[in-house]
Amino acid sequence: MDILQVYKCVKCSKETFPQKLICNNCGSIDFIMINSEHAIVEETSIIRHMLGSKDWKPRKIGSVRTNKGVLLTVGLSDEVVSGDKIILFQKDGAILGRKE
Amino acid sequence: MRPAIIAIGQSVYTRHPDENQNTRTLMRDAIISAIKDSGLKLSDIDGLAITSFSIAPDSAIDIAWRLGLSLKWLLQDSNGGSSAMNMLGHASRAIETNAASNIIIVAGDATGLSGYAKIANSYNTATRDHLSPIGHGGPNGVYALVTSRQMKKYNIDKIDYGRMAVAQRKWASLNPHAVYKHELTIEEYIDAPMVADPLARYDCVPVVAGSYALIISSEDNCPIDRKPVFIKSFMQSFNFDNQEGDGTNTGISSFANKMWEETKMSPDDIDVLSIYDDYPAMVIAQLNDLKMIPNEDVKSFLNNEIMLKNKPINTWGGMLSAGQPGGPAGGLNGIGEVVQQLQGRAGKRQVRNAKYGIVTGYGMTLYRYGGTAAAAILEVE
Ligand SMILES: [Zn+2]
Repeated sequence: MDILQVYKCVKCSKETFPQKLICNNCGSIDFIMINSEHAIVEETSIIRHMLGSKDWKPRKIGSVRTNKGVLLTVGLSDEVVSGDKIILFQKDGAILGRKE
Repeated sequence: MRPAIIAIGQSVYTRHPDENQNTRTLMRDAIISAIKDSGLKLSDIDGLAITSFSIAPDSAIDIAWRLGLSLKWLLQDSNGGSSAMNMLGHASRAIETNAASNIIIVAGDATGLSGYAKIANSYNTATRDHLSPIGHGGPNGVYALVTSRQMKKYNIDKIDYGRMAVAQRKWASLNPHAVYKHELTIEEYIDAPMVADPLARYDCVPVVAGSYALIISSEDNCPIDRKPVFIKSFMQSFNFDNQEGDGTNTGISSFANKMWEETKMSPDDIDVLSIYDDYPAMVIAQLNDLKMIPNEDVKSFLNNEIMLKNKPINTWGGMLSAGQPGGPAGGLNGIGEVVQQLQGRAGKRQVRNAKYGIVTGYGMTLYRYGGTAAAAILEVE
């Protein structure tokens, strides 16, 4: 399990995800990766069916906002609901959140 | 030359294509149907615009070759739900500048469910790398979250969206090509199994195999039994907000005022609408961006204008009932429906004295919602 990293513009500090080629705030092309651990859940959904998959188990996903305002779509543990503060992390390439 | 849409054609739309039906044969069928409708000969066609998720590794030129078309203008578009509109814009400018005389615009897909799932999971790098690994469920998961935001923003609930599904199904019952024609009750809508909360079965478009085609030419080539359909206004938007909004507005919001000002028209002047309906929430978003919903009172609009069919929206049943071939072709079908309405050729679905119509496109989910949008006002004189 790794801490989620997002991209921070070296020039204006705007954070973004996924990585952009040019900062849409200041035009810089230089970004550094920084840890982004805290977010608030705005909406959730439960994916109950997956096209082309027969043995699918329902999963919760959510739209979340990091404390620097980056909007992400992440996987969530079952107990998380809208309005919850969560900790973001990465596992096997997936961005996930669990209750803080 | 003044460009005009003169003819339409379509293949069968089917949930279960037989072994002889694939993307290429369905495109062929739609093209033959459009040629027949136009009174032109195949050899009169000198331009082709094509979009599909399922012709790879072929390109537009390969399809032209297989169709026996020798051309002087060729386009392949990759803007998903906005492809039909993008092709319409490019083709009309090609006619205007004499780059071509008679252009066929065709969209079609026969991906099958597993093929569609594969496309949905690796739609772009953001989806492949960041959405698929969490099991986001393809576009259903993306638009489930947008729908939740819209429900909060406008204080609407599931039954309000159901009004749209029920109304569009009523229109579909009059469209011989629709895959679902039987009546849908509001109870059936509410009781349908959840797919991705709050989206249930009837909020998600049925993927079908099928193809649709239009012919755009000069007004002089329009058959005498109908009026040529002109493009009064055409505007597009790509990545208007860098995915930093909530997805309840589309790129149409960036140009709608200009469209009404330039045409000296108002939403009340529009007789018939085809609004790209990949999800009910996105129909609402586009209608709202077009200023078609008075005071942004979405609840009242759904329960009155749409439910009572005061505003004829998606009179072919939309993709929600008639079916969505792959992604791009549904947009073309919506344009063709408004063309037929304006030409007085919509049969049992005919809206009386329709003179002005609006068509839209929306699509290419980048990460949190779609990045392409387009709208056009079509007219007959
Ligand atoms: Zn910057």
